[in-house]
Amino acid sequence: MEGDAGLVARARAGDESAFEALVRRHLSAAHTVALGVLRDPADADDVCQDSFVAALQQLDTLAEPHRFGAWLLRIVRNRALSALRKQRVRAAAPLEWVVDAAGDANPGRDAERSALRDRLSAALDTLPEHQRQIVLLHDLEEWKHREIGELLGMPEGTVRHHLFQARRALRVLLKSEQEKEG
Amino acid sequence: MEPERIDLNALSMDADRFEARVRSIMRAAAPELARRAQRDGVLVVLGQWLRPALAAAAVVGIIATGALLQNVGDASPSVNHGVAHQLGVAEPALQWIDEERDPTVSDLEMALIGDGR
Repeated sequence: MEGDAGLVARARAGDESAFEALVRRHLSAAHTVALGVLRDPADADDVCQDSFVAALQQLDTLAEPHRFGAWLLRIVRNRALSALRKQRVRAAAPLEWVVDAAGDANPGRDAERSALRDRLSAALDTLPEHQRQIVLLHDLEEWKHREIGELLGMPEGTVRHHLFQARRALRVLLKSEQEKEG
Repeated sequence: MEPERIDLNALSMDADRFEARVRSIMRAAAPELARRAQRDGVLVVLGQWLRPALAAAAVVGIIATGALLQNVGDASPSVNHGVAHQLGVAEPALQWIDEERDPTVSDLEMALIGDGR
């Protein structure tokens, strides 16, 4: 598999397939970062798209092409925070995390998944932004503590601490939800 | 002890949505990719033109240098005179150049007067 440095070099020359490979490789993490800040999937989509285009426009300024992912996610996070500041001026954002895809093949399983998604979304909404980011990046995107620390600008030990707090809070919330339903 | 990992997979993107997002980003990035491809295209054309031009210049330079060296080595006085005339060297100076001797004061005077004409 071609590394980010090679893809960046080709994307700099306008190679569409190279840029698409970068998008496919980093879209999920980018969306998670944006979603962690904004909490609204449509807003996260917009920020992701703007960030990828901005990254492409600024690609010549990237000094370490092999670190494209970390660089991109800093752009995503900064743009998401900027969008959040603008949002705060407007009415409260919706709290739905993930929009359902059309044409689901298995309605029963999808309904179950949707219910689980709603519970997780509600629980994640109760966390402070940095804890939400950390638990999403670690438990969904499988990032290492060090990588999360680099993105959020905090020591690895602090990341571990926040992850501990976030998981504990989520577990308590999800358990009490289950007990209510049960 | 650290609490166990929370299964958040229900929040991950499904394949259709992922593909739709990729398409959307690629559409938005298309003008910039086209601009870059065009810019690099121009550079490639210039590069393609520049390389043969430099190679041709190098060949001409090598041939000219070779010819010059050969002429200098084999040159008869008459050939040197022709070159000297072309370069505007004063006639009196050619005498002591031909005789391969240092110029005297009168040689220099003659050359300067000759130049002064």
